[in-house]
Amino acid sequence: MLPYDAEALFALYTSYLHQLWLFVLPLLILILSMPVWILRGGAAVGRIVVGVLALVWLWVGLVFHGLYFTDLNFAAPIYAGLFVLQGLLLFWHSGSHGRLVFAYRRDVVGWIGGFLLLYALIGYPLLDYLDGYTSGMRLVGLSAGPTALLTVALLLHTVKPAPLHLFVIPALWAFIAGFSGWVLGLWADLIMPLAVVALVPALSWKHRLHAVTGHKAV
Amino acid sequence: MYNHLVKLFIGGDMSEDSSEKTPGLNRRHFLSLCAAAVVSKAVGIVPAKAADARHTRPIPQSGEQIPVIGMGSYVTFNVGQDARLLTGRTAVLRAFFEAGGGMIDSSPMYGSSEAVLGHCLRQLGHPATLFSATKVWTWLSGAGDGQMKESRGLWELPRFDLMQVHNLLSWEDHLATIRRDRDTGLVRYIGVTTSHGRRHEELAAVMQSEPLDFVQLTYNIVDREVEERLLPLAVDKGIAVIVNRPFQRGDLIERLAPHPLPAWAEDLECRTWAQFLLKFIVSHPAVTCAIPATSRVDHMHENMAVRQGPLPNAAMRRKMIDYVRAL
Repeated sequence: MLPYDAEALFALYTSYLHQLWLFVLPLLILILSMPVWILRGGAAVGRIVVGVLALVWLWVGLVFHGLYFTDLNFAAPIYAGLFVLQGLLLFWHSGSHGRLVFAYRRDVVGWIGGFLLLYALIGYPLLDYLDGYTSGMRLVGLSAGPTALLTVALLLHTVKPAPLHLFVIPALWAFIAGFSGWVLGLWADLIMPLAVVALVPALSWKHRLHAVTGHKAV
Repeated sequence: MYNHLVKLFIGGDMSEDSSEKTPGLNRRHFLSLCAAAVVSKAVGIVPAKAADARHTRPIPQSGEQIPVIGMGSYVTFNVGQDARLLTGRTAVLRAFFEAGGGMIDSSPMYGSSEAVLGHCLRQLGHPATLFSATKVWTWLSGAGDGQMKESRGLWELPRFDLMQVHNLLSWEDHLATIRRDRDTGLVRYIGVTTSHGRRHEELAAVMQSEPLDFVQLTYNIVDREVEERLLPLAVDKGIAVIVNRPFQRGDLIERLAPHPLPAWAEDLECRTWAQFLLKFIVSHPAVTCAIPATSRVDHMHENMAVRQGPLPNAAMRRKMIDYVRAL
């Protein structure tokens, strides 16, 4: 069902990370600092966070899908297009048009977002490692699945509900990744569709809560 | 009397006088062959013609013989540029050619498989027995030319032995392009493909209406739909048949693995389920070549061993079907 197997996929990731190591470390530092910035809160931080998210979506789309994954998968250009589109949407929201303000929530929505954040940062590469892929583990900001999860996780931690259209492509990717994970036998990807299933009630709760209370994060 | 029989069946001279012997058999050998023929029919096998014979089949349009076991490259050769994996695939291909392999099938749809094949063939010095088969796979009629040219570059070949329209995609336009390529010597044979049992109606229509040298389709001991119509049609039309998905991408072997081979599989010189399944496929008179894919040298040896030894006859094939169905 897929034109490649897991061995070829992780060989590609290994090569991708090795060849671009100069960019890997700064990108990782940037991404790992975002949860810390969110603690500070504020509109300016919000624009920076969304801007960084936009950058990583563009990176994964243009570099990983556009330059590397096309070697293995004829669908890679389509994936590149989706990721670039999401990157552009996020860039638009990082400007003055979007006013996403982040703050940690201590409700159900926050817990779901927190779990997804931890899974994106730690769970994904850990499960790849435990699956035996010790050199091409998929890292947030550099590979598609963890990046999509990180985005969803952070967007759940906004003061006002984030626009629903920002969740569409991450949700779509969750099903693509889930399917690929099922075909290739990769545990790390199997959580992706479940994340979408959890997302629906989380977003619904958040929207209702905001409509009723104009709720701010506690 | 014996001499007459030998000349009828084998063409040698049965005389026991060595000075009169033409290349052929002596009486003892002839009698043992007769006995073997009787026993073979009883147990349901078609013996190989000689002890070291390896099975080939003719391409109906030309009579050119090709080995009945070829190699597919879907997934297995799509390994990108990883040096370790490239070395591994070169070893697989080496084993293929050392066992007398011929047809290798690929497609632009298979990611880096064509590039990897090109790399491996270069490492092996472009073996002379290669029968190169690839496909054109694009919706855009005008893009077929460029894609086929790119494939020649990736394989590092001046021409292909066989060019096929992958899954009948825009077949009308691509067949015209391939015919032009054949006229200019860029292609020797023309074909179309389907897989997974899809688009059989359309395939039958194309086989009826277009002069084809090859068709490629799915056929194995559980996916036997093509026996009803497409395989007889191929025989009628003089079209060679390539069989894909002989193991359903490994699923069939996985399902059968917990079960023992029947004791009579030994009569077919089958030691593994893969050999059992391949012998079933290539014993069908309409099948020219099966193209199992593998990334392992040991599995390649296993597959290529099917080219030797007896093949099941119709009665034995029935027995094989019944055995698998009962599992």
